[in-house]
This record gives sequence, structure tokens and C-alpha cells, in this order.
Amino acid sequence: MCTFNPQIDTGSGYWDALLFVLVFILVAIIVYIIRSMGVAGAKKVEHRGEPFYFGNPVPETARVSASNVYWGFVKAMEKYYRPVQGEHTGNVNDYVSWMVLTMGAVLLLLVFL
Amino acid sequence: MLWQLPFIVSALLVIIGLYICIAKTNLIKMVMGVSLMESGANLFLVSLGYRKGGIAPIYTSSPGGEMVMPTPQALTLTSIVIGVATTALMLSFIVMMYKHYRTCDARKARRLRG
Amino acid sequence: MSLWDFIGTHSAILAVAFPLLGAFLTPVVGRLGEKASRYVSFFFLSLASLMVAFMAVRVWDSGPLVYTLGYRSGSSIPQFFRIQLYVDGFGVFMAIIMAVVSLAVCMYSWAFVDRYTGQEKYYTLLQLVAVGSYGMVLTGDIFNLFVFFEISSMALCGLVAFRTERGESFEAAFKYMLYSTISGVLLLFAVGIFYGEYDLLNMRAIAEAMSSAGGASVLDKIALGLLVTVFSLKAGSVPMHMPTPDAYSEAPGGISAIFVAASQAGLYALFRTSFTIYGHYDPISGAFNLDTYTLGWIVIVLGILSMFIGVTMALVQKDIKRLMAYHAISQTGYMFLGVGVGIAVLSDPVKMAAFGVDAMRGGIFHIINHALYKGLLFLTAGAVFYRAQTRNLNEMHGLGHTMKYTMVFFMIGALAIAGIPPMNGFSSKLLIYESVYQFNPIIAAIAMLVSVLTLASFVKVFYSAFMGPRPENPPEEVPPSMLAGMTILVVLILFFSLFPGLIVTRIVDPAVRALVPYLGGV
Repeated sequence: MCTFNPQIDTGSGYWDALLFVLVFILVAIIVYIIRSMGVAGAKKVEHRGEPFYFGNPVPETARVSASNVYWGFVKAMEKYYRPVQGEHTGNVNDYVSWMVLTMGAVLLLLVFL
Repeated sequence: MLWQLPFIVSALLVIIGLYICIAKTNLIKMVMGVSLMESGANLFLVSLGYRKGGIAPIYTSSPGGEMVMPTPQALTLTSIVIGVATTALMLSFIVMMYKHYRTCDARKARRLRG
Repeated sequence: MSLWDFIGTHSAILAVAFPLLGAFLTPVVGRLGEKASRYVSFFFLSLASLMVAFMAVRVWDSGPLVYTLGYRSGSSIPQFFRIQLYVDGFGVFMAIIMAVVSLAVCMYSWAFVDRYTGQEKYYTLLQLVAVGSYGMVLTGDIFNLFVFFEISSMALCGLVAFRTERGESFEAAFKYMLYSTISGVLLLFAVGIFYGEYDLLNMRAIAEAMSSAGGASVLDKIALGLLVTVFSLKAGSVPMHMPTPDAYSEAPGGISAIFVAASQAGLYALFRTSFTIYGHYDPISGAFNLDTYTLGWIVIVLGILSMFIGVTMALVQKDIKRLMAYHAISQTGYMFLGVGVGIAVLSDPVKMAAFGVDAMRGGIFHIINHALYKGLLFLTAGAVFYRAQTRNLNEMHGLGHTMKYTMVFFMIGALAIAGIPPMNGFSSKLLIYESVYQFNPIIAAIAMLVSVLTLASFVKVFYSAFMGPRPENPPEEVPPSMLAGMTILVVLILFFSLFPGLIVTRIVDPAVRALVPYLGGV
């Protein structure tokens, strides 16, 4: 009645989901085989994987909080973020004026173009 | 020009209502503006059905002749009821908001932003 | 007439009527106790989903289903003057989305709202949202669309304001209600314009009257402008997106998921007016009602703005549900983009066959994918809030140590939304990328950039909420009814991921064929 078809045909190629999963599993098996051929018992380096606290003792709950995770990206895009975040004021008057502006633009474009 | 007057008035009402929603900062005034807009839309609907020299669209003991269209009157009734419900809901939101925020000003009652 | 025939004939109106009956019975049954109302609501919502299943089988086998309310054959008044429910492939597609999401949310809500009083009001409003959304997608009459638009807005705003101990809920509900009411008035204006010109309210009849009047006049274009604004406002596209994050973040747990499904109904209405009314092809004169190139570009520009501004605003949010709401706006931009390309090349049959149909397939497939994985993500965010009692990402850490199922479901949802193969998000995004590239390569590049930024922000949420040191009193896993609601969506996501070909040929293609009926063999 309905064949369980894992393949979709885009205009310029195809995507097959089950094929991807099979290849993924195959490659995972190969990776596992290669990894198990390595040497067991690697040396444990001191302080590996801990955040860098300039030599001070690392506290128990040292982590970057969520607002600071993408500090670099936000700082680099400061010129974009300041006006855009400034426009999201929370004031209902601004909301309605955006709608009126968009409606005006759409009406002008549709009627005259 | 005279027979275009209802349409001009209804467009004017909608524009005044939109202006109130944009320029006035008191939330209750904004609800009044929305109510004005709804009145404008209702006026537009009712005046669409008018036929020149028509009588009310009732068949019982009608004197005959052309009748105005009944469909926009039905649409307007529905719209009036919807307008009542939305106005009541918005006003009750403002009442509860005042209880928590102690202000009715749109510039001050905006803790959700960004 | 046997019971099956009765149900088969009347399934369209029963899908709207059953939740309405349940919505009015729920407060009455709620007198028996808080738990009785949840079973009543689940019962009526599953009856409505059963009606949708009947309709789907009927429409996929034998074409569009036209149901005229109260019509007996041999009556003198023509059918299109009455209220008609017109269910074609696209309508039944949206109804399936609503059926699945409403069942998952209802089951999720059994445990989530158990801590609150007034539960029967919650379930009443939930069923009214279902009524509004089913009505919007199943109707064939544009004034009916307005009425159900208002019903769903009112019920959703009531649900947003459910938590009365915080003032922010009322602020969010008021803003969303104001926006919806203003757009409702403008929609009524457009309905009035249609009535004044053609004396008709039925959408297909308006399309045919417009083509016999020689195409769209200036008044029709004004009505189109109003309709595009109103429906893209309901769908939550930039620059009219601003109440959407407020409302989604203040709504209690499962309601955000159903908010997504109800916003897609606005998307449905936009595409219905663009394709069925204004893109109507008259085979006699060989012309469309309107050359939809400008309209297509307007929809594409709205889509690009939504995608980009949505995802960049989402990266800097601290509130988990507000972040996901901005992602909902961004993913809606993908749907606008995909179907907008279809609208723009509607009058060009060569381009339409080359990439237009594939773009529409991608955009429409993205609608159902988005409803599923965004619903799942909102439900997991609700589960995180249920245990951590905060929505601020700065204050939570290490929930993944004990809430393992929630973490796995969140990972599946995050991989799906970012478009990582083999999830279903990748299938629909691939269709959109490959066809939009042939339309304009810059837009496809922007879409891929947005996908990368989506992954970035969900990695941020995963790191903040689930990874990190153990909290002081570790929360246990959420109650089983919430897990069951999430499992429904996860099973469907995995099924859609592994067998996208089946979904595209059986569910998405009838929808595309319903929107562009003159293209044989889609």
C-alpha cells in the first residue's frame, strides 16, 4: 500500500536517509576498529580539561554562564546588535507602528509594481 | 461625493484608531482606539449593503421594491459580538496588569523586552 | 446510512464540532473533580483527530472534499452562497499537524498543570484553540476564516495569561491580544472589500469571479496587501514579530507548542489567498488573476528578514523559552522563503517545473517538520522549567545528570532544528536550499548561514541547561504523562527522518498539488 521510501528526489540530486544511517554506522564501526588498535593506558596529564584560572585553585562550580558563552560573536557584531536590540523595546506603540509601516510598504509595492 | 461619505468616514475611523494605538501611551486609550477601528470596519460593512432607495430586508408585510443586502448585516452582527468579546478580554488584562505593575503607561509597563 | 457513511460525509464539520462540544462540557464535568476535565478534553481531542484521519484518507484517495452546511440536494439556493467547508490536500495537511500537536500537548498537560488550580478552564481554552485552528484550515469561506481567526486568538491569549501570579503574563497576553485584534479589524476590511466587489464570500467563487472580471483590480490588490500583512503577522514574521516571543515565553509549558501549530494556521491562510484566490489559473483565457512576481518577492523578503533577525536575536537571549520563540520566528522564515519562491515563479511554467515545485515541497514539508520539532523543544523547555522552577539559563546547570530522557529528547529536537542529517529538518532544508539556489544563490547562502547560527544557539542552551556540575538537590525525571506527550512527537520525528520519501509523496505532494492544481503530475 505505502512503500516506506527513505529517498526524496530534489531537483538536482537525491537524499536517502537510510543509506546515510547505514554509511554512518559503517564508518563508526571502522573508527571503532581503528581506535581499538591503539595503545591502551594513555598518560594522565595534570589539569587536563579544566578551565584556566591563572594558577589559582579552580572552584567546584567554575563555568561560563549562558549570557557570556558567545561573548566574542556578540562583540564582533556590536554594530548590528545595538540598533536591532534597541528596536525591540517592549513598547506596544512601536509594535503597532512597525505593522503600519510594513502594511504601507506592502500596499505601495503591490499597487504600483 | 455624498454617496461615498460612509466609506470615507469608515476609513477615517480606522485611521484615527490606528493613530491612537501608535501615539497614545495609556493602555486604556489603546483599547478605545481598537474599539474605534472596529466601529469603522462595521460601518464599512453595513454601508456596502446599501442599495439606493432600498427598504429593510424583511419579507413579512413588506411594501415591495428593492431591499438592501442582508448579508453584510449578518457579518456586522458577528463582528460586533467579536468586538465586545475582545474589548472585554483586553480590559480585564489591563485590570490585572495594573494590580501587578501599578501603572497603565505603555512606556513603563514593559518588563518583557529585548 | 450506516455510521461509517455518516462519519465519512460529515467528518469535516465534526472535526470542528467535537472540540467545541468538549470545550463546553469540560467546565461542567470539572465540577466532579480536577482530574475529570483532563480525560474529557483528551477524549474529544482524540475524536477530532480521528475525524482528521478519516478526512485525510478520503481526500488523498478521491480529491477535495466539499461540505456545505445544511445542504439538501435539490435546494434552490446555489451552493457557494452557503457556508462551505472545503478540504483539499493542503487543508488536511494542516489539520494533521494540529491533530498530532493537540494530542501531544493534552497528554503533556496532565502532569504540567496539575500544580495549578482552575485546570478545567485550561482544558476548555485548549479545546477552543483546537476549534479555532481546525476552523481556519478547513473552511472555504473567507468570513469564516475571520471568525475562527478571532476565536483562536482569544483562546490563545487566555491561555498565555493563565499564570495569574505574575504580571508579565498579562502584559504578554495584552500585547498579543491588541496585535491580533488590530489585524482582525484589517482582515474584516479586506473581507468587506471582497464582498463589495463580487458579492461573494466563498474563496473559490471569488477566484473565479475575479478571473471572469479580467484579473485583479486595484481594490483587489489593496485587499491582497491587507491580507498579506495580517496573515504574516499571525504567522510571526519580522517586522511584525514582536509580541510573539513575549507570548511564547509567558505561556505555560505545552501551550507554546500549540501556539506554534496555531500560528501555522496563519501561514496556511496566507498561502491559500496567494495560490487559490490570486494565483488562480483560468484555462480559457490562459492567464492568472495576478502576476504574482511582486507578491512572491514580498514574501521572500519577509522570509529572509525573519530568518536572519530571528536567529541573531535568539543567540543573545537568557530566557530559554524566549530563545526558542525567536527560533520559531526564524524557522517560519524558511517556510516563507520556500513557498515564496513558488509564488514568484507561479506564472512561469518552465521555472515552476524546474525548481518552483521543489521549493514549495520544501517549504510545506518544513511546516510539518517545524511543528513537530519545535513542539518537542517547547515541551522539553517546559519540562526543564517544571523541575528547575526557573527559565533563566544563567541560573540552571547540570540537569542532564538526572533528567536523562529530557536531555535525549532535547538533543533530537536540537539536531532536527539545526538541519543535521539524517533528521527531518535536513530533508526539508535540503529541498529549500537546492531550489532557492537556482532562483537566487545569495538567498540560499543566507539560509545556510542561519542554519549554522541555529545550531550555535541550541548548543548554548544544551550547555547551559543540561551540562555542567550537578545542582545541589538534583531534580528527578519529569512525570510519565509529560514523557508520553514528548514521546509521541519524538517517534514521529524519527519516522519522518528515516522515511522522508514516504512523507513527501503521501502527505506533502497532495498539498502542493492542491495549491497549484493546473500542473499535472506534480
